[in-house]
Amino acid sequence: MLKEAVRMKLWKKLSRVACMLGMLCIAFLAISYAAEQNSSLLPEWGEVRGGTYASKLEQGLKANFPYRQKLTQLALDLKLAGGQRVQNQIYINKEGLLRNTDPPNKKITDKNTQVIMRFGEEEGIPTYLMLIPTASAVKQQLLPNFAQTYNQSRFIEDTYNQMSGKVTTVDAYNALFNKREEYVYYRTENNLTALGGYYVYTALGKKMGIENSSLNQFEIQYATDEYRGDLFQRSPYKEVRPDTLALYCYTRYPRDYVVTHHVGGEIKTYHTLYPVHLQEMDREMNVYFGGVSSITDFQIASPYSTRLLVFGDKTALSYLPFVVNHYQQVTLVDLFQLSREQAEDVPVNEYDQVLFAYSLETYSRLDISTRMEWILSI
Amino acid sequence: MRMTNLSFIYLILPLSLFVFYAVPPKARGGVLLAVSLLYYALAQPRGLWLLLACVALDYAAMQGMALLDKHPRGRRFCVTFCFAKNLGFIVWSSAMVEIYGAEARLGLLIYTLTGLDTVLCAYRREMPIVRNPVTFALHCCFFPKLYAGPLVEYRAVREQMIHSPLQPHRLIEGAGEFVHGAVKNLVLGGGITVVYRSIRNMAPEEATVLSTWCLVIALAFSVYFTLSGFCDMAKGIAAMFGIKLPANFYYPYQSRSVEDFFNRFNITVNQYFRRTVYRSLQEDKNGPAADALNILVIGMLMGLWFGFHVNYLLWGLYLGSFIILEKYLYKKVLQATPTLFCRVYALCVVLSSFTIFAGNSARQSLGFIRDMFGFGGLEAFNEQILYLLSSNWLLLVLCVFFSTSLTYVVSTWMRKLWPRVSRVLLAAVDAAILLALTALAL
Repeated sequence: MLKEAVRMKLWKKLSRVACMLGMLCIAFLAISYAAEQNSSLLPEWGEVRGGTYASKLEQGLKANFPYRQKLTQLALDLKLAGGQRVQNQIYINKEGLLRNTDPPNKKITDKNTQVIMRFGEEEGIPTYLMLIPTASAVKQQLLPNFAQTYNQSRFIEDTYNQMSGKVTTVDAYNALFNKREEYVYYRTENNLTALGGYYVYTALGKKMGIENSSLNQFEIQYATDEYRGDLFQRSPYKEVRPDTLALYCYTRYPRDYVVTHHVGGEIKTYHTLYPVHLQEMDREMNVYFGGVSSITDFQIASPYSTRLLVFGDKTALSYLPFVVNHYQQVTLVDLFQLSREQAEDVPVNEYDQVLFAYSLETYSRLDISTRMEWILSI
Repeated sequence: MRMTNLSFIYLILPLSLFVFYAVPPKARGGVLLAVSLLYYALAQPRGLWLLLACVALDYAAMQGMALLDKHPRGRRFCVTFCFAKNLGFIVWSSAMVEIYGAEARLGLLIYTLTGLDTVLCAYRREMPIVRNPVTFALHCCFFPKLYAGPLVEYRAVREQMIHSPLQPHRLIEGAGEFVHGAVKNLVLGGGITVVYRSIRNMAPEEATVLSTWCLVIALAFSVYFTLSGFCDMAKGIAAMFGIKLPANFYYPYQSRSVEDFFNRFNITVNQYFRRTVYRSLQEDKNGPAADALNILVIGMLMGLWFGFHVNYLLWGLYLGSFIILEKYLYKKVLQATPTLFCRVYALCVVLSSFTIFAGNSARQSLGFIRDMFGFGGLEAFNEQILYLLSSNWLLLVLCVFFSTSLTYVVSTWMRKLWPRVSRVLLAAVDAAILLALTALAL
């Protein structure tokens, strides 16, 4: 009887110690994991007083949580099992992840339309506008049943109608929609593939007076077939196949390219259209002319003498490798990275053609008017 | 900071528990108060001074009553001051939120009403004056209950706040209860709230009969799972700290009558208003008319608990009027009716009450009722609502399932049949749920 009582007492004490140790272990693990990669998790008085410390702590812990990738995958699987085919604004499908595009911000789109129209009227240079639809508008066959997406086709049509007579518009929507069964959008990235870029280039050619090269004039090389893009980072759905980064090399009439990137005060130069070595630096998408910088300049040794200025976004990665072959110089300007000083280095009058080419998402969410004003004021 | 944050679950809670049980029992109240204030400082630092001022004034009023023990007028002044101060804070804060869109103060209703209740109990000499400022402050601002209660009497928790030995089985049970609450709040409540908002944000021309039904049902589930999730988490955390809090919800959507619904929905709040207001109004000793009025007052207060909004007031009045009818008109009919029919009746009344709860005005609520029964000239359904339902079918099924007592019945039955196996099994289920919760919170 006494032995039993002593054993019970010991058991109680042991279980208490175990509980205490358990609590300490959990907290210690949490602290060590949180601090592993982010040493600034200790509170500062200003953060505590301003109420921002709790969210900083939470974000720090989330970012460095053990088995984060696996747990995110588990969460995705759980949500999918619950019937949720759209997560983080992304439609989940084995055939590809599609970002759901929000309706445009009318204030911003009006401003953008006005500034492009003004540019077309004031500069006296042939000006073109191409709005590129996102995958959710083109690859409608991949959307879940009853899913309703914003009518991008109508928005593009309305915007083009406003532009009539002032700016030449390019119909990328139909060029892509007619090829919707093909691999025109990445499965894991919210962007056009090189093939999609080729179809956009054919649509551009018709309006810009370019004699389009047929696909068999290009030799296709593959940088990787294991690419997983930004959509996959947000919704890591394992069933979706990784993407292939295809490089279309113009072998019929080979060209020499000098691609110069202006990043802040730095200048980087590549003597190829596809600097594949950048892949090894974990910047796989940069195999396309080194990515998009605030100003990316292409000097091409070609029989052409015309110059093209492009105001664009990351969709340029897909179609510019085809377009550059028809010019002596092409300059791509990313207005969202452009500084005021850099704007002075864009001599608009030296170009023969100007193209505004934006994905509908960029055009309807980001205001280009302020930076265009800098360029117009020079 | 929220109780479902990973930084709370994996960092603040285990550290707090460790320090709490590592210090001598006498110091545990102080540690728990410090943890509560730290939590508040992380969650809403701007509201901390208001909380401290409010609790300090309540404590001062109570000490004032002790000093003026022999002077009834002085005692009455103290309690009136406390009443006016707390009511003033509530009205001022609500007005700031409603009129100027200011940030709502976390737990204001809980700590003011708890402080007022303690002072009132001492005034009525139902309990001795609380001398210890730590236990008084801890009772008012114990952090887990700040979100949605439960509103608990000082007498019920005083002993536990002073003597709270570490009991591993209670720690595990508390952790389980916390996990269940977090699932209710985060997964079911959060998920169904998103569905509710999606329907609410539909353009008027996109509304259909089916979408209106879904709107009302989603709101009913959203309110229940969000609030009961908070209360279960509070119960779980309190249990881990050795304090037993009462349940605040008991499967309200399977009530047998509207009165039964009020006894199962926001239980401690209902009890609080009955204790402080209904009893003060002499209960039903002044005849049926006065009693009916008292019931309506309680109903209105139950509605106002959710905010100073005319529709919440109407919601309380609507349900209150059914309680009056049940009490004075068809009490015997209900008693003679089979349980299933009683439950259907109560569910219909309660669900229809959520049309009032959902509306921004009485007119909009009437519009919801009209649309629900197809008199609004709306389509039966459209692709948008079908998409929403097909994307959330499992969530809706789970909401229906967990709003009934089926899980409770099954787990109780299992505990009786295989006590040891069920304990291990339920702990494993809780661990799996915690893992899933962590994944979802990432």
